[in-house]
Amino acid sequence: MRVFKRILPLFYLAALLVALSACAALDVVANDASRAFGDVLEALPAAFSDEEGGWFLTAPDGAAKLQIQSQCVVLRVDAKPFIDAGLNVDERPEHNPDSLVFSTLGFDMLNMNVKASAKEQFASNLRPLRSKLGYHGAMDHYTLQIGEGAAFEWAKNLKKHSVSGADQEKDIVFVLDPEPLIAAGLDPEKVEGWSYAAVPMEQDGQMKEVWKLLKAFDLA
Amino acid sequence: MESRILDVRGMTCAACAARIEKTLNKLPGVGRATVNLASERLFVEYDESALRLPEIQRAVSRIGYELAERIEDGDVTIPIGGMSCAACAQRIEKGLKKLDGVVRVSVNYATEKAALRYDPQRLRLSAIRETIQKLGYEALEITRADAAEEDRARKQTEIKRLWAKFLVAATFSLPLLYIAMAPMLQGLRLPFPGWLAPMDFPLVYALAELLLTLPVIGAGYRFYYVGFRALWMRSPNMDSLVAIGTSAAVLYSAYNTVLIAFGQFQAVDALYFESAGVILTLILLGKTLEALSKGRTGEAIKKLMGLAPKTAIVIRDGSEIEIPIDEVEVGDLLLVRPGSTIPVDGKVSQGESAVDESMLTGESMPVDKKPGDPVYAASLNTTGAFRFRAERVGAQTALARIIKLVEDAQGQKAPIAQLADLVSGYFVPAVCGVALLAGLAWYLGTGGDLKFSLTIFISVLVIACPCALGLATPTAILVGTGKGAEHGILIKGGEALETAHKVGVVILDKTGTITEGKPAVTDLWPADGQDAGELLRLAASAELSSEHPLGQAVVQRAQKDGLALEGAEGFRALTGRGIEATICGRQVLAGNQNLMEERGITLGEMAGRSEALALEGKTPMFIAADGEILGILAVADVVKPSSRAAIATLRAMGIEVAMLTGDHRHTAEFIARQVGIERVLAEVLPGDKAGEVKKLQGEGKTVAMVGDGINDAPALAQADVGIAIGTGADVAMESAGIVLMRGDLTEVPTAIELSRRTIRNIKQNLFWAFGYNVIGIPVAAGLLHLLWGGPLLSPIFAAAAMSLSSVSVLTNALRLKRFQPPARA
Repeated sequence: MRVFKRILPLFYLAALLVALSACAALDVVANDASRAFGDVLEALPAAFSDEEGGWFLTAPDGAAKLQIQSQCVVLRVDAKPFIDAGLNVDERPEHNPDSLVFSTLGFDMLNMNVKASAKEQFASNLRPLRSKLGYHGAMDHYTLQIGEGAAFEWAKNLKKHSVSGADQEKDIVFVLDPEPLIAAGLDPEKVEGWSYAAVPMEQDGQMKEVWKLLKAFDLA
Repeated sequence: MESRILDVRGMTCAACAARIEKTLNKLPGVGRATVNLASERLFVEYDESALRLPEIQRAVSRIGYELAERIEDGDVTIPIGGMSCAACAQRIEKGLKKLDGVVRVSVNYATEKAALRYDPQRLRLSAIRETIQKLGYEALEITRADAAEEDRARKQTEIKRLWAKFLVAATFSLPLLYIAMAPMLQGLRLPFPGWLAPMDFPLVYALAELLLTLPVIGAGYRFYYVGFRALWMRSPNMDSLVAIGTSAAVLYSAYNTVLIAFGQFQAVDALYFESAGVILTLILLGKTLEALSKGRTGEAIKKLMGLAPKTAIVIRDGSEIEIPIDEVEVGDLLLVRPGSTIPVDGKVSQGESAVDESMLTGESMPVDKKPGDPVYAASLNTTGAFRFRAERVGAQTALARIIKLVEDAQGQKAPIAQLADLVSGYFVPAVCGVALLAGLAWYLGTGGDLKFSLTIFISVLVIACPCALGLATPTAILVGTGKGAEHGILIKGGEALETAHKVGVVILDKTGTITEGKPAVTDLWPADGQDAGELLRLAASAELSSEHPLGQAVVQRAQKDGLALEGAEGFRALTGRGIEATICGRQVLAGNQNLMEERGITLGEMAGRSEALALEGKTPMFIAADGEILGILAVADVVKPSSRAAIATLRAMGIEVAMLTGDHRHTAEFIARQVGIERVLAEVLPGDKAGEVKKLQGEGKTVAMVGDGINDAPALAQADVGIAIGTGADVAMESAGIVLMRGDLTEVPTAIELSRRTIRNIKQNLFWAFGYNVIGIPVAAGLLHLLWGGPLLSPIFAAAAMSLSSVSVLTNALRLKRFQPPARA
């Protein structure tokens, strides 16, 4: 009995950790990220493509597309401005002169069938992709890491920054990591339609300025 | 006025003690109420006709504490055999209630025990047992409730309980601290589960912290129960500070958890669960260490209490029976075997031995005991077996009285404690005010930074440490008086202990203090052609029948020298002159010059010697036989062997030593020269001794008077510190603030040095206690940050500092346990 009493706190500890980690309802970030993505879809509807498979959220300027497939999210970016800025597409894994492709699962898993709506499919995808989803407090954005440093960000609130109350001017942002592209010959400052900027990001517990290629849109 | 010592339960800091004192001192009928935080005891004097004990207990209970009666000498539980129903219990109760001296009785049929409180002065335990037997039941072997044992057991339970709570708190607060700190220290790459990342899973993270905090709050619930209750009673204490501080942290964090649940993920940066958890854990650790240290402060007294044996061998109808010590009664004949401890006080009736009384007197040499000599409970018989008659048992023994004296002293407050008491009375409300003001000021100053101002508010509350203030004085006094008891120095109160360190002059009574107080042969001067041994043998043989102290001194010296004395015939005491007797046919005279001249005996050169001896303060005694002078014996009150060294030690300590006596100046100065005293106050009548003390006090000196006689009592009372030699009169011991159990001056310098060390220790404790608060509170309030952007104090470090303050004060007080008497000069 005494031994049991002594280890009781450890049981409690273990039970609470299991309960917390297993409870999806407590994942407020994933739940709210799905809701916020729904708001984005209302402002910028997605289109379904049988040919390419999946839903496409196309940037207002058409230069970037977020492809939502089953279990997978793909970012397709118009390759032309990058080639014009010196990118050698032969050094890219996709060897595609039309698009730069970034995927959460890699290329082998592309073109899976999609049956649900864009919002439902995106929400469904967030479960397996949960480790790639985050919340960027300074921008009040949700971020989905897609691969090779590419990411898609969308505002928690399309109108206002939910903490500072300031107008939210970047409702969706396509983000590319310039480093692998620079390695393939790109001059990041010459990519038309993309801004090359230092973004404050948390790394190793500290806020750091990280250079990114960005394409942001105000939808509201 | 009735005076009682009661155990107080539920106190946590000096503010609690002050609150109880304040409440009781307001009660009509209470003369004086003093609470000792360290020993957790209340000393109360009250008028029984105006107030009853339950009313005092109720008054204390109303403010949230509990008073428990201490088990007295007359408390006894008697197991009873032969009861068959509840009516038997009632019958026994009725029968015992009729006995004169029974204060209260309760017989429990279920446990088959009778619990009694009776007056041992009016009623013998055997009479109680007899009554039970007469009623037709069997009085089995009794067990007397043991206050010390019960106290020890209660404290042990408390320590275990605190330790268990600390372990629970630590089990949860360590992971709590880890998950709170690891995300902030990513540079260290501490392993951290992704599903708990604060920015990605903020609600899971917040709930994990909350759920880890709840058991810690459960372990420390008493801080909330006592703290908020005290706050409600408008007498906030240390627990109130902890309760407010940690509640603010938990409530603010819980509010932020709700915000997170509603989508305000940034609120994850404003969680303070770990502060509350770690604060409670550290304070529980501090309280556990404090309880451990407190237990050690009273070890000296516990050691004394544990000295008495549990059983005694009583001789009844010629046979030896081992009985529990509680059943020993006055008049019993007891047997003490070699190596065993003497159970009660009494007088040796048969046999001889040497007894080690060091536990009572500090004297390491065993004392010879023969029939007629007193023996004391708890002293250790060394060589021979002897029988003795019990004269004092239970609370009446010298050991019990010493324990009571020390306990009483430990309950009294030294004047130096008054400052700490005064401060601690206002401390907690003041800290609450400072915390609020600082929090508000920072809130306004930072343009509404609630997180920052809350940190300041919590830090100020938890760093404030009234416990250290409250413990500073009583712990040092507890250890100091206990250490004194170990050396045979009984310090009867905090005031005596405090004053003794300032003593500039020690006045020593001569007779019985510096000297033995009884005459002894000091010189033997045989006339020409006479033998010194024969001179002593004849004189002692003649004095054998004398009852005069001078004659007895001569006999004792002869016996000590192993001389064979002859029987005297025709002994006659010649009032004011001497004696005469016939020894082996020789007509022997022993007396003064008048007697010799009266009998026409030629003194020759002996007359000159007599004058010289008289100048030394000695009493010359001429011895003549058959009309011829044989020589002179000188008798005088001799200096105790230890007096000279003790006086030299006092002088080496920078203390002036004076001698006070009613003796002729010549005698006094001779003794003073022998022991190294320069200032002699001679020819002082007993009634004028106090006046002489006053004169010295008039010179602006702090005076200690050391004496042993009834005639010293007024001077002992007049002196700033009265020190009585324990072998002296009871009235002297009552008038003195310090009693030395050993019959010499050796422990006078020890007592003064102990006082010096204790007061120094108290001052150090107060310095630390005040220092912690004086430095800690402004730092916690953000003063350094305000002045030059210096560091802020995290609430966690504030709690650690707060816990450390009490522990460091207690540890410092415990250093007194290493006290050693000053080196003999």
